[in-house]
Amino acid sequence: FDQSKAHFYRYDEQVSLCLERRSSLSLVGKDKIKLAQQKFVRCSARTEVRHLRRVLCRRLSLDKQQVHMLYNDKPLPDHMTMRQLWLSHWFGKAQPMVLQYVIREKSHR
Amino acid sequence: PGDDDGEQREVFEFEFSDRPLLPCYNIQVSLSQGPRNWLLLSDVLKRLKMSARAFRATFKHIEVATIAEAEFYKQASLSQLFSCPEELEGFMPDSKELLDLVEISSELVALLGSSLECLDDHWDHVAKARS
Repeated sequence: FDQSKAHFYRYDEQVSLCLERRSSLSLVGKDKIKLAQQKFVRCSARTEVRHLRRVLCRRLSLDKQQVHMLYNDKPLPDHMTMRQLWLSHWFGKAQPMVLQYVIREKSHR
Repeated sequence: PGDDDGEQREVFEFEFSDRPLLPCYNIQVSLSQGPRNWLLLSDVLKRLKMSARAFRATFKHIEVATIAEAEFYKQASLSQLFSCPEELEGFMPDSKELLDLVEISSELVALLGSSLECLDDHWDHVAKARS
């Protein structure tokens, strides 16, 4: 697509995250293990939980519904922004903000 | 539903790293442009294990901006995301010293060993609109 027409959010304030995986499902393949090790993430404060979920799904070649984001092991609403999350749960603490994600079994219908 | 090709796409960028990321500061360094995201050159040099002279000689095209430490502190401390006092305690609020900054770019991200991932928000909006 035409990148000149895209808005990249790159001048927004950025948040620094540490994503920890909580899952009984094991990742297979060297690439996936490497990707999972890259647990430090920087993104726009306007990024929503669903964006984070989607980018993880894509990096780990998983279905959209397989990854769920958590804070303190509790599920996070999809449309919550990183700024909201930071102000409600991480204000006063040092970067990075620690979030968890869980990989669920692929649902078969 | 109309043709989406003329719409502005919204793309979110994610920097992934296996090491803790260097602190990033959203600072306006000149009146001619708005706030941008900067790293301290000293942090970058430490991570790259390079001298300032070697960095400037090797990456001549990477612009190094300067800002008075007091102004830097003033702007950085306004951010709600720097609410932890320890994160800015190394800076002097009244110092007239100059700090060197380098703007975050895809080149700098790659130099620091991180990978950049882009996510087009377009798909989700289409899915939402159709659900």
